[in-house]
Amino acid sequence: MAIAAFIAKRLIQGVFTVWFIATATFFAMHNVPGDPLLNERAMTDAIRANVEAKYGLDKPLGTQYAIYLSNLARGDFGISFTQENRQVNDIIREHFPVSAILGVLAVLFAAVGGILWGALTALYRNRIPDYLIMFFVILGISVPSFVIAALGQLAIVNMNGALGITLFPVAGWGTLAHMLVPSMVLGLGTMAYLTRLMRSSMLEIVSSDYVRTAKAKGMPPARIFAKHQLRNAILPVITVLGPAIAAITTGGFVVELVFAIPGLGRYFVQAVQQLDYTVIMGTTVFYGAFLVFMVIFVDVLYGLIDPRVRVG
Amino acid sequence: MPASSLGVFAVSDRELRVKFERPTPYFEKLVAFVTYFPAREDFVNSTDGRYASSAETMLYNGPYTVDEWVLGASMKWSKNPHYWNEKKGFLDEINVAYITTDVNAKLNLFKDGQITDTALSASMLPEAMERRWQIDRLMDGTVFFMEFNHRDGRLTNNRNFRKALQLAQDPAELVYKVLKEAAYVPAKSLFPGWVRGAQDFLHNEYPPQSSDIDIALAREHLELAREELGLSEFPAIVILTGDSSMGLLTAEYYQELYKRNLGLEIRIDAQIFKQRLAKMTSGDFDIVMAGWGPDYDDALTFGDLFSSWNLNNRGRYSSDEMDAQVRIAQAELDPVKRAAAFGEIQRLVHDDVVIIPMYERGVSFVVDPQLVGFRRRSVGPEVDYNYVRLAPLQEP
Amino acid sequence: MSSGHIYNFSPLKRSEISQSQSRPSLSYWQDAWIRLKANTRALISLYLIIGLLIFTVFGPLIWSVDPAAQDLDQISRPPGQDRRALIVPEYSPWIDSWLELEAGSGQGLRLIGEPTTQSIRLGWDPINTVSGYRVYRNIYPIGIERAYGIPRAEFFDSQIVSFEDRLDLKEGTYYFTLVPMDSTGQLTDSTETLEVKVRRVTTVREARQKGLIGSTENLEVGDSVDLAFHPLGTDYLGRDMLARLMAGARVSLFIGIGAPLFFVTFGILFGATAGFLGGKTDQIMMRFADFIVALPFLLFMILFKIAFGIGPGESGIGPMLVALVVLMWPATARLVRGQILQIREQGYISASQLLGAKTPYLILRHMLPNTLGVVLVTLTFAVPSAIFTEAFLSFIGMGVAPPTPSWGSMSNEGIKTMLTTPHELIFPAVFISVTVLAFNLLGDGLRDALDARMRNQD
Repeated sequence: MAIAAFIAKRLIQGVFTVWFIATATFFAMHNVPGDPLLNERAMTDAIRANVEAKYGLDKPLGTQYAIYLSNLARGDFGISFTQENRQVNDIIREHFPVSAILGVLAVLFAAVGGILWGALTALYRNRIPDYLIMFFVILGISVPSFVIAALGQLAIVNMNGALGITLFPVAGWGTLAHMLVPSMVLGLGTMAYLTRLMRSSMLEIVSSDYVRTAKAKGMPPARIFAKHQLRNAILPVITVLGPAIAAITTGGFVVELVFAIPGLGRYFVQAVQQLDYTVIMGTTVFYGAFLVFMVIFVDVLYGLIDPRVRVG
Repeated sequence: MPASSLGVFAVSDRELRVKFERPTPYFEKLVAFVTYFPAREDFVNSTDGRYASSAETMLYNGPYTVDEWVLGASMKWSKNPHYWNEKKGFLDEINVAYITTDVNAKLNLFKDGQITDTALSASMLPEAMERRWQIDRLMDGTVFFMEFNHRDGRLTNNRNFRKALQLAQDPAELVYKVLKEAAYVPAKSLFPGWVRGAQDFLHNEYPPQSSDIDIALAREHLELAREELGLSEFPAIVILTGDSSMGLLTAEYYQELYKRNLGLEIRIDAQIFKQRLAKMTSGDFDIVMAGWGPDYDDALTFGDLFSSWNLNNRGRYSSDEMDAQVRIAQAELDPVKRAAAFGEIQRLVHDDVVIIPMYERGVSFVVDPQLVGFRRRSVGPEVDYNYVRLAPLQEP
Repeated sequence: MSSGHIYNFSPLKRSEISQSQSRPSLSYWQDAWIRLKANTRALISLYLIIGLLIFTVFGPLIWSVDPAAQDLDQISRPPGQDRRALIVPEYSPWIDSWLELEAGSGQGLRLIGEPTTQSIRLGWDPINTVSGYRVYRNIYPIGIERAYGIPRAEFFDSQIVSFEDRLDLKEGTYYFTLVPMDSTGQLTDSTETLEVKVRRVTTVREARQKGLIGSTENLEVGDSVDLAFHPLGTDYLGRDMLARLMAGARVSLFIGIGAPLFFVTFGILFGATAGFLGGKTDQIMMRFADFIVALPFLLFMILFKIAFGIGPGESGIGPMLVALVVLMWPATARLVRGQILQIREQGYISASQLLGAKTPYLILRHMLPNTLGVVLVTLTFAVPSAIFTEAFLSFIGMGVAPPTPSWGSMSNEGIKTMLTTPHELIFPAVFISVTVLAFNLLGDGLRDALDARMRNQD
C-alpha cells in the first residue's frame, strides 16, 4: 500500500501548505494600503465603529488572525464585506462549481487538442502540417484572451444572425450549448502551450533508440505511437496539467465576464479591488487547497504512467 | 445613538411622525432615497444576519416580486398580485437572464435578441446607426470634476495656481474631441443642468459663470502663484484617478494639455477603488478625478458638498462664506431665497476654483421597439420597468 | 593464386599511421554551436531579433516624434488617410443672433454658416404648438423606419430655434433631424431632415503649434494645409502610433525578455536541485513552489510596489520585474523537476556515474541539456505572458505610468475599439507576435542544435 501511504503523507503536507498560504495572505492583505470599509459616501465615526465591530476589525491583528484560523478549522469563511450579509461559504458553494466545470472542460479541450496537434507536428516535422499548426500556435499565444473572447462572442452573434436560429447562446450558463464556446476560448491558450510541449517531447522520442528498435522489430507504427511514444511524451503534459486546471479555474474571469458566466473568478478579482478581506481569504484558501489537491493527483498519475519514476 | 433620541415616532400602525431639528424643505425628496426606506424589525431579525442576501430574505412592496435570484447571474421577477397601484406593473414576468458588466457582451446579447435594452458606448454608435436602431439618451445626473486638495502645504492650496489651471483648459475639447460620448455634456458648474431652482432650471435663474479658455491669462496667474510661493520652478503634481478607462483617458488628456499650455509636469496615479478612496480621505493627492451623483432630487445634494463639515469634502475646502450659504440652503423655506443661496454657492465654486467641472455624464442606449414605456432615470434606481408594456409586433 | 586473371589490387604500403582523423573531434558544445549556426530557423530568428533591436534603439533617432504629443484633430485615424484641411478663424462661442436666424426664416431646418469639423450650426423655425424639440444626428439617410440616429440635444421650450453641434465632427456627410415634441413630451412624426457636408478645418494657431508650417510662412484664412503625417496612424488620443510603438518596445522587450530569462533560470536551478536530490528536500521544495503559486498575485504586487518605494505616478519597472520573476518561477521548476526525475533513471546517467562523474558535471552536461526541450517551450510562452501581465499591471497603476506606452497596454486600449479602428490593436499585436515568433524559432533552433541524438545526422 505504498500509494496509500504516499497519498496520506502528501495530504498532511498539503494541510501545512494551505496553512502557510492562509497566513501569508492574511498578513499581506492587512498590510496593503486601503481601507475595506471606505466607500464613496463617507461614514461618520459612530457608524464606522458599528461596522468595524460587526466585522471584528476593531480587535488587534493577532487576535483577528487567531479568530480567523479557528473559524477556518470549522469551515466558516465569514461574511463578505462588500456584498452585504452574504456568507463567503455560500459564495464559494454557489459559484465555484461553475468555474470548475468551465475549467475542466477548457482543460479537456486543451489537453486533447494539445496532444493531438503536438503529436502531428512532431510526426510531420518540417512539412506543411507542422508550419500550419505552429502558425496558429503563435497566433494563439500572441493574442490576448480578451480579444479571443470578444471575437468568439461576435462570431456566435453573426452566425446566429446569418442562420436565423440560435445555434449557440451568446452568453449565460446552464446547458451544454452554453458551455462549449466559452470553454474553447478559455482553453485556447493552454492548448497552444501543450501543443508546443507535446511537440518538443515527441521530437526527442521519435528519434530515440527504443523506438528505432521497435521499428526494426517490425512493430506497426500506430502501435509504436500508442504504446511507446505517447506514453512517454505525455509526461511533461501531465506535469503541467494539474496546475493548469488550477490556473484556468482561477484565471477564467475574462471569459466569465464576457460570457456572463456566474463563476468565482469574477468575484475574486472584484474582491481584491474592493479589499473584501473575507472573500479574498476565503477564495485564496479554497483555491490553495484545490491546487494542492491537483498537484497530489498529478504526482500520483505521474508515478503510475512511468513506473521508472520514483516520486517521493 | 439610542433610538429614543432619533425624533421618529410611530403614532399608530400606519402613521409615522418625524420631528426635525431645523426646517428641512427637501425632506420629501429625501425619503425617496434608499437609506430612508423602513424595514420590518421582526423580519430582519429572523434572517439571522442574512437580510437581503437572497430572494427569500428580502421584504418589499413593489409591483413585482423576486422569485429567483442567482447572485451575479440572473433574476426572475413576476407580477405582484397584492400591489396597490393599478397604474404600475403591467408585465406578467420579467426575466433578468444575464448579469455582466461587459458592455460588449450586452451588445452582443441585444443583437442576438436575447435582451431588451443596453447602453451604447461611443464606439458602438456607428454600428447602431447602421442597424437603424432607435437610440435614446439620458443624463444620468452625475457631474464629474477635478477636485483640488486645499490642505496647507499643497501646491493646489494656492488660488492663483488653481485659477491658472482653470483658465488653461476648456472641458468642451475634452468631451467633444477626446471622450466622444454622445450623451456627455461639458459641465459649466457644480450643479448639473437638470437641477431646479425656484421656478425654472437653476441654470436659467442663475447662469453659470463663464469659463472660456484664455492661455495668456492663465500664464499670468501661474506667474503670480510662483511668486507667492517663492518657487523657482514648479514640482510635479499628482492627479489621482481610478482604474476606469474614462478616468484614465481624462487624466492623460489633462497631463499633456497642462504640459503644453503651462509647462507643468503632471504624474498620473491610477489606483484601484479602495486605494483611491483611502488616498482621497487621507489627502494624499493634489488633484483627484471625482464625480458626484444625486442622492435625492434637490439641488442641496450637490450644494452641500463643500461645506467644511461634509465628510465627502475630501479636499478639505473650507470657507466661511460657503458654510453660511449652505446653512441657508439647508434651512430656508422660501424657494426664491433658497435658489439665491444655490446661485451664490455656484459662484463661489467658480471664483474660488474649488473644483473644475468637466462634464455631466449621460448614457446613450437602445431599447427593443417592442418594449414601450421603458424609462431610465437620473435620480434613484436607473432602470424603471414600472410602466413597461409589450407592444404587438409590427407588421413588416 | 593467380591463374591468368588480372585483379586491380595492389599491396598496401605499410605505414605508421593506421588511423587518421577526417575532421577534428568536437565537444558537445562545439558541435551544438556549429549546428545552431547552420540552422535556418535560428538564423531567421536572429534577423528578427536584430531587427527588433534596431527598431527599439535607433528607431526614435530616425522618427523623432514625441510619443506623448496629442494631435486632437486626428484621433484614431488609420494610416493612409487624407489630411487636407482648410484654414478658418479661431473658434468663438456662438451667441446666436436674432439677425442670423431671421435671415433664413421660413426655410425650416437650415445651416447657419459653413459646416466644418470645428462646429455645425443649425437654425429652424419655431412651432408654437409644441412643447420642445429634439435634434438627432445620423451618418446614414433616414428611412421609413425613422431611425434618426444619435440624440444630440433636447429642448423644452418651443422658442429655442438654434443648436450648435461640436461632438466628434468628421469630414463627411451627416443627416440632422429636427423632431418636435408634443405637449405630453412624446416625439411627433412631423420631422425635418437636413443633409450636411462637413469640411475638415484647422486654424492658423494650431497649424503653427503643430509645426505644420514654418514660423516664417504666412497662412491666411482660406488657404489649405496638410495636417501632421502619421505613418502608422494615431491612437485614441491622437498620438503617433509609430513613435509609441518604438517607445513601447523598450518596456515590452525589457520585461518580455528579461523577466522570463530570470525566472526560467531560477526555475531550472530550483527544479533540478529538487529533482536530483529527491526525498524530503524535494518534498519541501515543491511544497514551497505550491505555496508561491497559490498566493494572490495582485495583492503581492501591491506590496512589492510599496516595498520598493515607488511613488504615485512613477513607473515601477523594477518591482514589476521582481514580482514577475518571484511569482512565475514555480511552473518552470515543476516542469524541470519532472524531467529530471525521468532522466535520473536513464541508463547513461548511471553509466556516467560508474565512470566517476561528479554531480555538477552530471547536472550540467547530461541532465540539463535534456531538459532543454521543455524549458525552451516554457521560455517562449513566458514572453507573451510577461508582456500581457505587464499590460494588466500598468493598467491598474502597478507598472509603467502614463504616458509611457508599452505594447501590452497599447493592445489593451486597442481592444476597446477593435471593431471600429482595428489598427490600434493590430499594430502592437503584430509586434508582440513577431517577438514571440522570433523567440519560438530561436527556441526551436536551440533545441535542434542541442539535441544529442541529432549529433551525427548531417
